[in-house]
Amino acid sequence: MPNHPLLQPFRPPRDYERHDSAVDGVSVWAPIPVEDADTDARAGAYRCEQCGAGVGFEVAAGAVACTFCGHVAQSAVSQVGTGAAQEVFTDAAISVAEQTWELHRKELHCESCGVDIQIEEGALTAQCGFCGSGQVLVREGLVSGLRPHAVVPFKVEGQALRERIDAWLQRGWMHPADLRKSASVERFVGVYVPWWTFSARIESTWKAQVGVKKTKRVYVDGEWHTKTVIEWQWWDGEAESVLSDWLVLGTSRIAANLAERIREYDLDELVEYTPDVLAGWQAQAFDRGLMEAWDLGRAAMRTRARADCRRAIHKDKVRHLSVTADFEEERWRYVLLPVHLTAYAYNGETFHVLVNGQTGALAGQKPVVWSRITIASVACFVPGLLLGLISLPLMLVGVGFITIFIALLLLIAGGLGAMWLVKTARDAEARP
Amino acid sequence: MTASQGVLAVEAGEPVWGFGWIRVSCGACDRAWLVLRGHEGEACPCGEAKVEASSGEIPRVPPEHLVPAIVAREDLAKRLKEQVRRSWLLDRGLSIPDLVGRARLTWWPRWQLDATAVGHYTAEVGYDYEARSHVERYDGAAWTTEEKVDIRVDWQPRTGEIVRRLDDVPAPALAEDALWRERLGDVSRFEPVDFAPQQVPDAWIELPDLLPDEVWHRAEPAFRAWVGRMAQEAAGGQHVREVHFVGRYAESMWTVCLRPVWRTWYIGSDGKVRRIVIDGLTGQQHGALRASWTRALVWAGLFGSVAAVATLVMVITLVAAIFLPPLLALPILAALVAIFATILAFLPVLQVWSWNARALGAGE
Repeated sequence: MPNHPLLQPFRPPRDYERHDSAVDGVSVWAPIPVEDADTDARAGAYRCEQCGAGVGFEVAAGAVACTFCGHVAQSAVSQVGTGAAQEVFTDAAISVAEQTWELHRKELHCESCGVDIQIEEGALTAQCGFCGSGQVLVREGLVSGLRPHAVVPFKVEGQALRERIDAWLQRGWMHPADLRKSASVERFVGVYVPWWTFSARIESTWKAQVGVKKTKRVYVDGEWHTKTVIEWQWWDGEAESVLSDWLVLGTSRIAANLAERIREYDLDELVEYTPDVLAGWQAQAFDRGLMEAWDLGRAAMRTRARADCRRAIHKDKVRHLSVTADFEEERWRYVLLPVHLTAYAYNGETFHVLVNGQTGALAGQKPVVWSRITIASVACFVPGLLLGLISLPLMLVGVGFITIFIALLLLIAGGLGAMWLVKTARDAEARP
Repeated sequence: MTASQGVLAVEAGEPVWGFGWIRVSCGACDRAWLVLRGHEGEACPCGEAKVEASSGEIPRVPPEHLVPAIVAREDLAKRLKEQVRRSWLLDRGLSIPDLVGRARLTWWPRWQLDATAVGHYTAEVGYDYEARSHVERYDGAAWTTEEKVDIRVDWQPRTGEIVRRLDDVPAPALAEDALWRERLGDVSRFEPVDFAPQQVPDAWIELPDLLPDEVWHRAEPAFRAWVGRMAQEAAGGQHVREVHFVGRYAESMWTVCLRPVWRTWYIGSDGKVRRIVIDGLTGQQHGALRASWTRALVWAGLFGSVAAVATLVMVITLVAAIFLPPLLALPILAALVAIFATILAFLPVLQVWSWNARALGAGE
């Protein structure tokens, strides 16, 4: 303990604790590590403290509110945005991330009324069907597993989306006419979906053959002519790519192709994880591990790094581009992002719809009437074929060459149009 | 701490520290010295005037440390010869025996501050950790992945109290300290020993012209850096940055560490005193080894005369050769001698010019 008559009393910051010092006469204070104690205390059964009814996280109130009497409980939800805690790829952090958060639990004892409730594999929260308690399964999960670093709370209420979905179902000529009438969207399930965010700085070095245009004077047939030629030169250089909060889906339980379409989240609205945010909502644990997700994220990032190198060349003609992308300052975090899930049945088949719970962006599967697509695709070729047929007699009088050339162009355009139609239809179907 | 804590005032002729030394100063170079009583009236190492007993400030306590001289008087001749033999046109005053005879071993002071840091610190302490990272290589067709392990630094805030004493933080005692250290080199690798007056029999200790108050700001960064190192060691980290210390440096003690420097001088052909300084540890030399314009002009004149005579002979023999063609070899020979002598006449001038230009460039 440092001691001297001139030493003023020391008041360490409130969230600091004393550490062992390796040097006599020097004391060491460090920030208290963020413990799970607070969140543990809140974990468990959620019931209204006023009337005892079930509670849930109310989007409008931004807090846990009673679904019966409307009483809003005090909760400490702090917005951290993209400044939310991130991890680095240390062996210890990777090891923790490999242990999923209560992934295999299938049965839960309700702490409120005492019954055992069944939850689907991978779910993190459940609504007790007996007492309506919003049970948050964190107490045991925190012991060994990785808990989310941050959450984007729901901002869009599911029920408010019904009209939008009706309008969406009605939209488009390639879908069945009775789709809106026959399809019935029963209910929306708000689910917190796991995502990994990755950030990295990539120092890339590149080497490529770059085509440089040069003009040359050539002497042909007794005259000088200027000719443009491409001279291939080896160039090399460096590029830096800074990529922040690259999202990779952490679950295989929702359609990845649909999730990709609603992935534009505003991560500035991330709040620090607390069980309060999940109260009353369903939440899914990740089943795509950190390293598997990082492989996907890195693959996307290196493609971006290569594009940055290509851009750095500032020339149109480039070949034999090779890139070495050195990853630095890699960071990751585990976040839960809000999604409303719903499904509707049509002709005995189930179609899924996802709505971004923050922005309201919608992506879903819609049945396609392929006979219409076939007719439309064939119709794309009609102008070209007709003009081609007209051109044949015109060729006999020597003026059909121009029209047959235009017909050929129309056929090519028709082919492209047909391909676009098929692709659009496939996208609308959004089969996994 | 005040300046008076580090220095005390003495009267002219008043014995210093009980060693039989007195304070003297030179009216020409303005330097003040401590010399053995009886050496007053001797020539100052600057060579321009004699030193006289004087009153003024001296360090409050005798020097604490001294770096013993490695270069002895016998070595001086050898080191000076190496310089002198590079030119055959040096000033006549540059006589090695004279230079060695005039050489005086003097002691160059640097302040050393001992103090106890008492206060509170905040710092960011860095801890090394291993992180898994990747290098991705694209060869034009496919990517290959190479896993690597990077050593990175995790910076964490730390704060606390510190009561620790630090000894011998150096600070300059002479206004020219930085200049001379640049010219003579860093001697921090030489270990100082405890000072004893027997190690400096004639004294000739140069007195500080910078007072502790004037150099405190030079020592303070070292103290702050040391507080950071202490915080780093105490917290078990490998790095430290953003060190802030709030407190005071108590029980401070200013002492002096001495470094040996040989000083000698000569009078150049222009009548000016030229000084030469040789580091007593490294033997590195700095000073004016000037080449003589007078000698250069004498040699140039000599060769020029030869060239003139040869030219005259050439003209005469050329005229003679008109009548006696077999004599034609003589003017040719005379012309060659004239050309050669003319070239030689320029050489001394060029050599002196380039030598002195180099001497000036070296910061004479």
